Amino acid sequence: MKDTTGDKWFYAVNYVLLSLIGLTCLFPLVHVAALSLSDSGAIMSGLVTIWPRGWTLDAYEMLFKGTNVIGAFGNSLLITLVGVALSMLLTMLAAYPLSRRYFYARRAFTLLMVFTMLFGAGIIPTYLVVKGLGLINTYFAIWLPALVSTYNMLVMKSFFENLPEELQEAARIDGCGELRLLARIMLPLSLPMIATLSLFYGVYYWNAFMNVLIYINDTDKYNLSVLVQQMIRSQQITQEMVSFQPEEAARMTPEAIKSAGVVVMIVPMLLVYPFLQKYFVKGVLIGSVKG
Amino acid sequence: MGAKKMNKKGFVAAGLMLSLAIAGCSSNDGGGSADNGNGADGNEPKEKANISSAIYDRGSVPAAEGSIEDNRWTRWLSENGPANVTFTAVPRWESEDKYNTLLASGSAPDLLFEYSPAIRNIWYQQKQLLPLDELIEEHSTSYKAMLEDYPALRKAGTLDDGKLYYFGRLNEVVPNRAVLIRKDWLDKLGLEYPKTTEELYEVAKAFRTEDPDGNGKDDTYGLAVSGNSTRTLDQIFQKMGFVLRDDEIVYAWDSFEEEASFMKRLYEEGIIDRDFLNDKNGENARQDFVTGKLGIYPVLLNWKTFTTNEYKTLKDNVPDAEIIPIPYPESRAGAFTPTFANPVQMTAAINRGADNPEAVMAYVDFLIEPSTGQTLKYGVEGEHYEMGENGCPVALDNDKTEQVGYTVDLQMLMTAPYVLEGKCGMESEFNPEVPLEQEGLDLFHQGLEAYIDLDRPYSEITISEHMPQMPKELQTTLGETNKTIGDLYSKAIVSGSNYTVQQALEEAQKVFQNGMGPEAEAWLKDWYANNKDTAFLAEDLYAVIREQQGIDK
Repeated sequence: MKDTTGDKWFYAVNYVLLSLIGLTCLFPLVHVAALSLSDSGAIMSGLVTIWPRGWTLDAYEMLFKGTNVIGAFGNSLLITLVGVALSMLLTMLAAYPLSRRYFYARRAFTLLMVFTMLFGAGIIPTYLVVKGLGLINTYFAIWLPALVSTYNMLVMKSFFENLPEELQEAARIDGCGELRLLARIMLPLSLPMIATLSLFYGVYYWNAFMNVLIYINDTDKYNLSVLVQQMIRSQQITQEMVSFQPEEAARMTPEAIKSAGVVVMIVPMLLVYPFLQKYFVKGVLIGSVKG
Repeated sequence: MGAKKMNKKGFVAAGLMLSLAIAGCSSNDGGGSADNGNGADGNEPKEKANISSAIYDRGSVPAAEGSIEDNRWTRWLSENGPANVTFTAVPRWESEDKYNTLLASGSAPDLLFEYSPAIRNIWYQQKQLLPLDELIEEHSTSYKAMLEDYPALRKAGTLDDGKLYYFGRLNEVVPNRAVLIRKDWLDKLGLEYPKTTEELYEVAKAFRTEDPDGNGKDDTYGLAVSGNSTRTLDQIFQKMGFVLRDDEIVYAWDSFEEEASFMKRLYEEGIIDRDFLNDKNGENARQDFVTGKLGIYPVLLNWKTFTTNEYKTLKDNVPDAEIIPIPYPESRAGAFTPTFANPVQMTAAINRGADNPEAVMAYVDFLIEPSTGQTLKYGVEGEHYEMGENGCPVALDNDKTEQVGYTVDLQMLMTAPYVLEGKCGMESEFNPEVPLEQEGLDLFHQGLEAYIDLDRPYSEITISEHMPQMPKELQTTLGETNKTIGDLYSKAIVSGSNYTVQQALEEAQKVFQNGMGPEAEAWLKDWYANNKDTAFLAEDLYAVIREQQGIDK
């Protein structure tokens, strides 16, 4: 069916508007990247908008030499990769049995898990539990408490439930056991959803801030979020501070270095998203209940 | 479908594996507990005690140096001090949460460092702190002597139960706020610098309307009012909430009215940036200043950093610009002095759960030694610095500069050499051989002259760090009340004829009445009546300034 002129106008206006909105979202990012590459005098004079003024890589040099950003980046990577692997493994192993209709007390287990979504203990009790398990200052304090997001697990469960029965029956007839069924048949069919949930977990672990702050004591184990946060907060706080420690003014991170820190923190996620995007779009719809 | 039975053995096996995994993950690399072995020279047969100390982390330790809890200077402290110290890092800007969890779980270090009096007060309220009177009396040498020479240290560290809880240091007193004005513009327009708030209005108006930068464009602003300028202006009018007048604590409603009227006039005549309410952190005002578009700039500043940042950028953009600091113009409430640096700053306390308080005390005595402070600040003589002609350390410009400079927080108990010896203060941080720094030094001297005028009263009751901590609910409610009053104040300024200052004043007073204002006032009056001799007030601040500056009175 050919588009009428009215339709064409509609699309044109739509595209223009949406592109503008998209560019507006892009603007702060480009601005921060420009700040990170600019000379500090130009930054202070407010001359930097989307293009660096007084091009210099000083900020990145000072960032890499003067702080532990490389180590923190490595830590973030470790936390994210291992965290996603562990989380996905456990989520799958939890979702699979719950999706089997012949699982004894299936309802009860599902209800129990949903129940845990309703409330949390708060910082101090959780801290005491983690401390009691001897996990303080290790990354397991970041991984274990958040290992399985019940919400994600339910999404996966409903996805498994919606996979065609015929395949599973066929596999069973051929003598396939539970684990093999899961690994060989169901997972390959679930790639979009796995990609989506991995992305959700990935973003969660990459941005982990409060947990790292509280449970990790060694500063060389800090991840990128904590490091960059320290740099950014200092500026805000000093403006609010009524009592003023003179030497802290000299320690305030220059705007350019802060921007460089933010860029280093965002770039990995930016690089990963486009590749997983097609799964992401499919995956978000997958969790919806099918008739 | 098929009657597959649940494999019970599978369940049990899985459960066992999981618990094994958790047990195996127990932390075996805790925060690097210090060895008992004494690695220092063999002259010390006695084994050193092990203590722990907090240290702020700012994320600013170069990767090559290690981490804030383990670097050349922390090792130096353990080797040269009386104890082996294990450091626990506390993020500088998230210290409240971190300290809360550490204290609640019993894993807080022996020696706690914290700048914020509000956070230290929480520890005191929770009875987490060890009273220090006896400990100092019986086990301290250097700090005990300091307390005798400088009784203000004891005064500021004593809390309302009469016991001493905090260790502190003495700082060089310099003004932290200033009003800077473009002298070249004054000269061009043939004006004198403003001495009253009415003159301030006139000069700001002239700067706005008479094109002082001579570029034919209507692009100059008279006065900055956003960001840190707000509080500086508040001090000029003494719009500081509860103030001390005639030996009594009152709420400065007249200042509220006067400053609101002043600001309203400036706003309506377009003398200030109409967008000032959106300039929350003063960035626009700062940009206007460094690009030469702003005539009068009230600031909160560190004189050295200001020179190397804002002043340098201004001179790069406008080489002919000339600025001078001027004394606070006189308002109806009076002519005041600006905020001064806290001369007696409390920074440390001992955890009540410390195993070996005597060892911690010995470590504190070591920390306050001038030689310790000098090493932490400048490094090793010959390697990182040398003594200059003026008798003050001068950093060497070699490949080792990165090895010093991140130890600011290790020096939290270091008393300024300026206080002890009368030299090597802020003045020595300027290098007169660099023209820019010489100009900065001149600016600093002018600032000292303009602002250290002790015939003028201090605009606040005392340095904010020495204000008493109100009970928590009162503090929180008062915070809300003050915020609402602040919003009414802003509304009065920008709403033209729809909302007058008088209306704002009446409404603000109502908010005050209903928002625990009278209770707060009564609490403060009571505190003042009971503590005016023991608390560190503005008059004590002036006494310290007189002593430091050698002013007789």
